[in-house]
Amino acid sequence: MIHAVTATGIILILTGLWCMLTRKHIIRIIIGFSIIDTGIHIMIVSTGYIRNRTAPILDHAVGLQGAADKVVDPVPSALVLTAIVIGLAVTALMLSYAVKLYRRKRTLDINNYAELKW
Amino acid sequence: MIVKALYIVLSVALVTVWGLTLTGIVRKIVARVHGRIGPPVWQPFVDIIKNNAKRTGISHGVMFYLGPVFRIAGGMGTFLFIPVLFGSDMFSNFSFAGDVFLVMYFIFFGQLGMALGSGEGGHPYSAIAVARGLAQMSAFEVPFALSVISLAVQYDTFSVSSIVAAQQGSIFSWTMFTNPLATIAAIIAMLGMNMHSPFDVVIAPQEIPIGPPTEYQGSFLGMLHTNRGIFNGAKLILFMNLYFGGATTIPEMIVKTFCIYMISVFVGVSFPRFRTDQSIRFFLGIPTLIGVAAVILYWL
Amino acid sequence: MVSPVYLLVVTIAAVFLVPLADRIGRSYGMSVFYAAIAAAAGLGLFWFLSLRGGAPAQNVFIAGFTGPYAIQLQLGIAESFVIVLVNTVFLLASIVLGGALIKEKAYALTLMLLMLTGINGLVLSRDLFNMFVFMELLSISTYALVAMPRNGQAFSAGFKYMIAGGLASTFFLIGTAFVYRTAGTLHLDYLLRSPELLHGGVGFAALFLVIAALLIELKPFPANGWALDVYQAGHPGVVSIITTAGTGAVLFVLYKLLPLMSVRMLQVLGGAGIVTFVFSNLVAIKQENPGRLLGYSSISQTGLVIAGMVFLRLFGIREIAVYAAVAGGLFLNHLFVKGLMFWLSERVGPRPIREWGVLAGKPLLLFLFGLAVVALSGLPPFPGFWAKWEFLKLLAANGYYPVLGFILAGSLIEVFYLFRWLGYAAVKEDHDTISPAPAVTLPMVAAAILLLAASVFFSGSLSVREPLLRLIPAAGILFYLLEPLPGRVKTVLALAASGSAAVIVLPGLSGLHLVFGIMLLGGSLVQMIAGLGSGGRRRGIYPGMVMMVYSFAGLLVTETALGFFFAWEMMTLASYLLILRGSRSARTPLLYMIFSTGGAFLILAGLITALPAGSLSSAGLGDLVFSGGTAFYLIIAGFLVKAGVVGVHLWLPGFYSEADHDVSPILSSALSKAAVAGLFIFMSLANGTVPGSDMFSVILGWIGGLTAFFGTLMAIYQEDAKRLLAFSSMGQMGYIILAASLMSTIGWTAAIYIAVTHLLFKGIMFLSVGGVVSRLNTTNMYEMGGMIKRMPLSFMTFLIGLIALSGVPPLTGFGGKWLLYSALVGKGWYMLTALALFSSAVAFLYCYRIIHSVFLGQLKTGFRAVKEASVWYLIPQFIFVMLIMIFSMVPRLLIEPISAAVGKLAGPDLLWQGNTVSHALGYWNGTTVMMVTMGVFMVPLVWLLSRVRSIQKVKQFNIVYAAERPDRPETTHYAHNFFAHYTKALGFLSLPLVRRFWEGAGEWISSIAAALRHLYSGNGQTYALQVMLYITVLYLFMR
Repeated sequence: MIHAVTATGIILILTGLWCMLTRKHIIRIIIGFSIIDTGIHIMIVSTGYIRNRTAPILDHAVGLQGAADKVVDPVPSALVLTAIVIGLAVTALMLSYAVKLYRRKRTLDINNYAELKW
Repeated sequence: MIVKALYIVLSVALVTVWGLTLTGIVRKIVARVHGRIGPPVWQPFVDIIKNNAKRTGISHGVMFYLGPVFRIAGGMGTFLFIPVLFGSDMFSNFSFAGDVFLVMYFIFFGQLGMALGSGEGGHPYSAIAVARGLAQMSAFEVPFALSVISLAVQYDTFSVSSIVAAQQGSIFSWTMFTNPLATIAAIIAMLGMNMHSPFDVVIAPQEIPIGPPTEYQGSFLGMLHTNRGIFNGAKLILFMNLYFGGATTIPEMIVKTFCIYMISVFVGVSFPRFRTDQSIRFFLGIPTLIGVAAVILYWL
Repeated sequence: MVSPVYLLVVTIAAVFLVPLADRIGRSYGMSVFYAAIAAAAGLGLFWFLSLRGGAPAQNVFIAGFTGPYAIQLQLGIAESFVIVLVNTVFLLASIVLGGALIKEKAYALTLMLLMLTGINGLVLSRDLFNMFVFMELLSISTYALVAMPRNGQAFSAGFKYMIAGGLASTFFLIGTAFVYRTAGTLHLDYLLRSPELLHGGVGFAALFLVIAALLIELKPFPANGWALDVYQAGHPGVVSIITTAGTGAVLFVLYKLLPLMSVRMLQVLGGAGIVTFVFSNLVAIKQENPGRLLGYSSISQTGLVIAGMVFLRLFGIREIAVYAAVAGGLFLNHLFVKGLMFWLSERVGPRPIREWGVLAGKPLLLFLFGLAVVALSGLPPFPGFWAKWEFLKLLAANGYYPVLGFILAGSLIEVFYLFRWLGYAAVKEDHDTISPAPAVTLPMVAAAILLLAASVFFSGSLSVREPLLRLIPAAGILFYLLEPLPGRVKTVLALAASGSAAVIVLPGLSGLHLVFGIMLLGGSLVQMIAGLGSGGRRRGIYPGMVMMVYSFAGLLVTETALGFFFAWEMMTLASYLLILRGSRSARTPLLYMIFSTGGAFLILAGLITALPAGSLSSAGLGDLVFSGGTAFYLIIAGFLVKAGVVGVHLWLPGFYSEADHDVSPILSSALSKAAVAGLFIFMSLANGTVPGSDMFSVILGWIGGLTAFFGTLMAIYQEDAKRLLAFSSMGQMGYIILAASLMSTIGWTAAIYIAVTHLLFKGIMFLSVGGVVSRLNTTNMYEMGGMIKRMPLSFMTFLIGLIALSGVPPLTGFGGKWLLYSALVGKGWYMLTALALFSSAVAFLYCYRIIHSVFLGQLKTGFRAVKEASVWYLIPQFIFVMLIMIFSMVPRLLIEPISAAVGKLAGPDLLWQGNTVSHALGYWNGTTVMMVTMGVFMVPLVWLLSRVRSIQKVKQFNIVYAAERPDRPETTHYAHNFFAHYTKALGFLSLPLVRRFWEGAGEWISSIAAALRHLYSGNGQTYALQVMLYITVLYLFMR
């Protein structure tokens, strides 16, 4: 059974893909990419989820004793933290590319950037 | 050794005299057909003596000088590799040195030398005539080669002497009767070889006066004339050996070669001249097919 | 041993140090930067050497945790191999980039260092998520560096790259997440221990996504438009890193994942590699922009490396050494070559490939470029050659023949566009200058040296144990280094080098090998003397010449299949260099290379098919198994292409005629015999073991007969003296093949007899014409004439050669004809006999044409003062004339050793009685014929000499033509369009149908390429869509 959160993640990924592949505006394409990223993060977190457990943060509510039985799988959460950072970097770089492109041609329509081909 | 040398001298003398006489006879006949009186039969001998008696000679260079030498060497050589009379030691020449392919290729020796000599003469007519002659030669080689191959298959040998030997017995063992297709192909090829009309575009008297030898005179021309006798004789004897049962005596040889030559003459006085390309196409057409048929018949 | 962590530490530390040092001064920052990279490369080398020395592999867990919490690294021999390679090429590329980097702020340097960290991390890490992080590190720094040229093209290319790269990362991440979900671990070693964890539906999908993402990163055809834009727009230095080091790291990740994949996955992945290889090469043929062309080529090479490792895995091979030999070799080759070529394109600047003639005047750059092209084409001695051999051998051994065919087809296309490019660079001289830039040249030289060193290494790890074979490339390089010497000195040195090869090799040969050894080595040696006749430097001749002679020796001494093919390819390469130098157009060398390579590939395919099952690389020629038939026919077809039989003769006239005047004779007379030698070597090896050989004989016979006929026919129409002789060689090759096809004692004797005499007379004729042409500076026969007056000695030798060629007794040519007809009639091939006779009659036409047009007729006004050809041209001619005379006088001297070497085959033997040779049908006594001819020649000569005492020599125009004395030789020299009537009668036989066919085929292929490349619309979104579709299709195939 697919968990509802996983499903949300997948829907976000597909939405983002659709956005990337159909929108002509470069900023929207970047937004599409961002949506995909978010979807992936949600999905990764959901893979580590175990019903009725809490976040893998060792505070007084969880305690050190038997923490392994109280929290969800911490690995995906750890991964997501890294992935978020990377996604941020990529998005930032994409946006700076968009700025550079706009300064050259005063347009953000991706169809106008096809001078290199064949 | 000395005996053999004497035999060779005798043999060459015979073919020279007979070849030149034959030319004389033919000139007389052709003249009569044309309604002229014509020169006497001994006119070729007179021409040779006259040409050799010239006091001066004009030379365009070494190759020009050697051209007639090559030519007559080619004629004599061709003749000397053919056995003249069947069963005669005296007239067997040097036929032990090679078979029919040697003879076929030696024919080119003189032609090549002549072509080279006349080339140095620097007269464009010579070069034009050589171009024509070579083109025509390459074409009539095809039916002739097929005919010879057919004989090789038929008699299972390349040796001219053995081919003659196989035709002995009766007139019906001659190739002419046992392998008529090969004979026809060869005879047509011979028309080209003898350069009578319709295949005389090479020497085309009105257009490129006498062709290759245009620049030759004096002793050179005399030598070429002499060769014409020897070379004609050699070719006729080769055809006689291959297709008409050879000859065992000199009179037989004279009669047969005369008859063979007459074929050329008859055709020559009856047909107009072909252009070079026409003769190439002609030889590569029907005569080649006849040759192919001759080979296939004996192959199966 | 140093822990692998330090590799990452060094670069990351430098990331922080460089900006600090940069504050002090630009040069300090740069120093730290280069020091870090050099340290990384040094570490790599140190590890590689110690691991090769037997040190154990290392596994490191940073901070004591396993992945993915911490970084986990493994350093084994494979890792160290890749590390040393990618870091070295990265270092060289950074040097090339130095000029550009110094103008940037310090962050460009840190980006470079991050990129290297990503690359090294990818190679070392054993954890999927670690890999993701390193891949992102690599990608992000690359995205940023692509923009370095700061122009619109670079920005738009970078953005497209980010879209596609972003998608790939997305898939990798999703895949990683699901791998964790199903397997509970991301640790590669755990996964490898229990691969069944990923066998379920979700597990498969997870693994699929990871692999698909990696594949997208490797730019598979057709989902790779974005990468091409980057290759075109980025700085060549950066691009070279992306395509060599970056690609290498991702390839290595794929290699690490191979054991996880199912058979189906491997098959599809291998297929994707092959498709990429073939189609990227195909599309490349229409490309004019060097960056983009190199991009296509890089992508195709990557595809080949993927296919290489995937198929090895598919065949169940586990030894790392085999992967190193195949995938490692291909990758190493690609790495250095592509680095070198991208850097060179930086040097040449923004010029389309047609304008690379700027390299023509720069020997070093041209050498480097040529070396790169040769290496990339998979020619020996470079690593690509050995790797391809091993790879194709494994494919054949496992029955993957279609894959083998596709790889060869793709390689042929590759050879086409690479050598076309080399032709533009070498032949079309462009006098534009390019500024010197040692910072770019030095890394190129370094890459070339490393490539050559690697070649030695690879050739050592394989089977070529015969020392002579290694001397072939060594001799070429030695003579390249000797290039500054004067031409005559080099000629003497080349003679000494070739002579010593002959002296060493010939005594060890016997039988047919000895006969061909004498022909190839002796023939070349004698003709090389003519080189002394030309002054000047004569650049570019002797490296090729000496390599060619050594290859001849190698062909004959080698006992292994690989050795034979090695020598064969070296010979092709050497002769290509010779024609490249002499040719006036780029077309001739290119045509030669295409057809030669096509032929060589047929031979290659045949050889590896015939290798006995489970053989080592050193399988002997004698071990080859021909009972299948196909292998044998492929090999023979290859030799026929090289011999230039009708239908594949397109390359021949130009190749034999356009080289230097002292080189053409060797190519036409000696090199042409190499194909004959190959034909005989393999026909002897296979004799009696090939099924259906009667049919084969007949087909081969007709190929030979038709080649003889059409070669001869085309010769008579030529206006160019050397082209005429070239076509004549084609005709003679036809006779040789015809005779060889008879498979009888007399037939083979005839074939080799003709080969020997052809060597002699064609050597004479080419040298003689070469001597004439070198004085007149024209090859048009109608512009010559009357040369007998100016060059009597050349005329004399030419005449002897011509009589020998035409087959007129008493010279040697007749022996060849006689043996040929005897064998043909004996076999019962009457129609072929007639065809051969016809051809030899037609040969008289061109014989007369050339001797008349050049030497006879009217001497032209401008040539009245020319001198006899150089004595160095005449000496080899007279040596050959003497040999012809001796063999004509006593044919037994030649025929008897040949028939002894041929040995006993089908059909009757030749019988000797004194000097008379005979067989069942006919007989011939060459000595008597010679005597009689001399006799009948002397008699009239003496008569003439005695008769005509007063010979009057007349002047040139002393003839009467058209009723006046001519005064212009031009109007009186009948030479142009000499056989007009023959054209009229038989012109339809020599229409350029073959040329039209091949041109049509070329047109067709290039139209396909033109259509295919429209896939790359330039729109970033389309590219993203292609990526998505590609992954979908890949999934459907792998499912």
